[in-house]
Amino acid sequence: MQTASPPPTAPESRRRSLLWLLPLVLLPAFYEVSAFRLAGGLGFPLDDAWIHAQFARNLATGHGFTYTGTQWVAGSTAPAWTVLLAAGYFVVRSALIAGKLLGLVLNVLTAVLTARLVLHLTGVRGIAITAGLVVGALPAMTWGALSGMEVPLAAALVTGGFAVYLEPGPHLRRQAWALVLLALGVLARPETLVIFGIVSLHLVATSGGVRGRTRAAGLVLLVGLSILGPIVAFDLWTIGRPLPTTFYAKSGPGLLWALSAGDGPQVALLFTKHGPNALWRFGETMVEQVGPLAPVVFAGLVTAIASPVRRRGGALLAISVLAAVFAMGLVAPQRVKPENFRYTAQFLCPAVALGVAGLASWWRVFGPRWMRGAVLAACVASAAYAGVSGAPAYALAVKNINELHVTLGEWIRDHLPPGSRIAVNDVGALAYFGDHEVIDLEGLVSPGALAVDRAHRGLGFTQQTQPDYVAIFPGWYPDIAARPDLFREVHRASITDNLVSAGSVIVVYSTPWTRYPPIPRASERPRRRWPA
Amino acid sequence: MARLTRQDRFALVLYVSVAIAIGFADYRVRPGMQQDYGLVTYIPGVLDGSFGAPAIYRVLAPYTIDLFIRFTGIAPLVAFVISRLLFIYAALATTHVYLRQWYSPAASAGGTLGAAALLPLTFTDGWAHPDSFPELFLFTLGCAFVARKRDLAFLVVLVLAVLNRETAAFLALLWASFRLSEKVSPTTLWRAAAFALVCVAIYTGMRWLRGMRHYDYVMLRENWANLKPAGPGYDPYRRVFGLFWLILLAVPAWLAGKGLMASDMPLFIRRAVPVAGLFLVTCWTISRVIEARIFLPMFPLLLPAVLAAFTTPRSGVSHAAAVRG
Repeated sequence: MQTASPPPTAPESRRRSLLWLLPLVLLPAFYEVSAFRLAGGLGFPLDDAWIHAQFARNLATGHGFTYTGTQWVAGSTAPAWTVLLAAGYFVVRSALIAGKLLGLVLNVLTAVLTARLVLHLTGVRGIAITAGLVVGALPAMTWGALSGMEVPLAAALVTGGFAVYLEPGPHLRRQAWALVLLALGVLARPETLVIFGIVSLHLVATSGGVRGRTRAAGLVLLVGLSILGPIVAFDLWTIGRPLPTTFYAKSGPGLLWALSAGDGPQVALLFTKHGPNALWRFGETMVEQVGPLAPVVFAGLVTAIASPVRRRGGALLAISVLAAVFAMGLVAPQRVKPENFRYTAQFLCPAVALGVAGLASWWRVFGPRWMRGAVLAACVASAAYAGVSGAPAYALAVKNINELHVTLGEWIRDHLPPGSRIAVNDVGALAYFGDHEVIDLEGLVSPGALAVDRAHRGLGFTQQTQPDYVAIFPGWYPDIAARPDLFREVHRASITDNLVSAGSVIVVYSTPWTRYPPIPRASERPRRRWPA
Repeated sequence: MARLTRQDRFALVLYVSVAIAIGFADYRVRPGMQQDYGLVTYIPGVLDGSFGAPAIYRVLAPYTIDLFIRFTGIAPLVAFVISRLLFIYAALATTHVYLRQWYSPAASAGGTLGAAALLPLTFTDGWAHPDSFPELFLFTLGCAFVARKRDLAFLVVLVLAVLNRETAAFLALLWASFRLSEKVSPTTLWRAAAFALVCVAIYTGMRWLRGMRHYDYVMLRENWANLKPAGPGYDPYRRVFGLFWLILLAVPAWLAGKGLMASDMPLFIRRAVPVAGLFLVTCWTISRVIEARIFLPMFPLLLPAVLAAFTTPRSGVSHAAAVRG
């Protein structure tokens, strides 16, 4: 007589579920192999990653939150990531390895949290696992996992915050943890502030009675002040403004600028054009990210709103994501576009998760088990295809940054005399590898530059700071490039296949204040392939 | 399926007028200078291979219409219009007979007329594509043969349909989805594989015969961009052509979902709806959705389930009892 095999135990079931996440390790590995073959080494796909690395290295080696010299500066948009990266550097003594390992772990964590969230929304394990795989395989997430940047941290915190908030369980502790995760998400990507705000409002509004609402409001204030308060205080202490320098340097003609300038028409334009346009561009980003799965995700989003998924938290998810993206269009309208997916990855994940969760509304239609399995397998295959198709761009980006920024940074280290001060306009790898004090013409780590208007900043700020050398993209500062009488070219680095860099050429100029000439021959230090 | 009744014959006569009405709208809705583009540019271009991919691989309609023109000796434009009317009528009649598999003559006529009313939403191209109505006719006929388990007839229709347009391969998927859900046996597996092989053979064979030429395969970005209304220089309807596919399919898809909730729903109808979903995803990925005509196969895939939303009584009586009653 045959007996049925016993059901798997909980640990066995968890191990099996974890096996499903193996592809999320294989995909980043494919990206890195592609990059290694093209670039001849490992690296980061964006210079901004080296800014985090520089802050992290300084923090881990006892120099505090400094970038260059001894001055503390609030120059990181993602202090949570900077601190985490510093902890990683402290352990492995390599920002590159720490960044990638942490990114991989956080990407897998995001996938697990996505699955947990979708399981709560739908109750269907297969859909939940599929959602986790699809989110983890998004080109933005794979890129982010290897980028050395805050992308997977922000995604994990936002997804985790929603997952914890929406699940049933002891109320107060669950709510507190959700708020903590979302507040930390703000420290990973400041756009998450809108989501924190909406979830806080939802918490207060749905708490029963005056006492309940008061308690909820108190919890929000406590979490907000204790996590976000210190950062605001730090910003005020270091740069005299409540937000980090990156906001003032990069936000462009956004809402805060328009309000401070009293520009009413611009405010109206932001709400009527840029906000809706941000939503449109976000849709474009989703189409680019999920590829052939786009119709499924969009159809799933519609059905999720119209089905029981809505009552389980789908509506809150949708409103939070849409409001956050709209707000991005108000504050930094130039940022929301498909190629800037690193700014919206933490919104892409819950949006895609909700879209996949919408499949549950059609689950009855896919009758037999094999058909349901085929549908889910097709979803994962589509996601994998979209993920794999992002590898060439990643590889080229690493090549660009290595060949231009890292190479020039090493040249600066080897050829410019110790003690030289260098003004730069892409401050990541040039500072990390250059081993010299840098002056940031863009103002990210040199807030004084922001006081000079953009058109005259090159000449104006260099006259103020009097660096020994200037290393810039000539097209960004024509007021410098057009003055060979003052600024003489001593070296240049260039690439021909530029995809991600702000320019194809960086030129190093001597200045009227150059104290020490360049060193003609490279120093004896060996070229490092695995930089610390 | 019941034999054709008097009401069925009445409906088939009515469809003559309906076909002429649709043909008239189809002809006159195109801009004046492009009304004969299909005849004077497209068909000769496909025949001599100069039109470009993927049109040169979709040979059935151009060759059939060209043969019809030569055979009848009628003036080319008139013959082209007549051939188009014949295909429209064939599509309507086939739809009616297809729906009669499950529904009464009245319900079948209602479903066919409802589909006919939506057809103008597919006239978004600047010129009349010769393969559109043959596609509707052949795809519906293929669905009918799948539902009736007439595999040999289905094979003939499948070959013709794929020669007309490659997306007719979804007929093979429909066959597999329906028959393998009923019973997985060596026979059904072999036949499913054979039908798939036929589609692959025609697809690759046409490219081998006429030469491999590439075109834009992935259209996701363009499709997303076309969702935005066009600029103010266009007429009001033309500005939202990118949304016509949504207007065409949204309500029928919703109704199909409602219809599927009835108990005792025939297996074929339950299998056709997911195939329609997959068809939609494929079209969105590899075709231009602004050309709403590409969704014509959705008509026979969704119609049976859509009708179930109307014939299922509120008391929850089974679907079979409702259509018998």
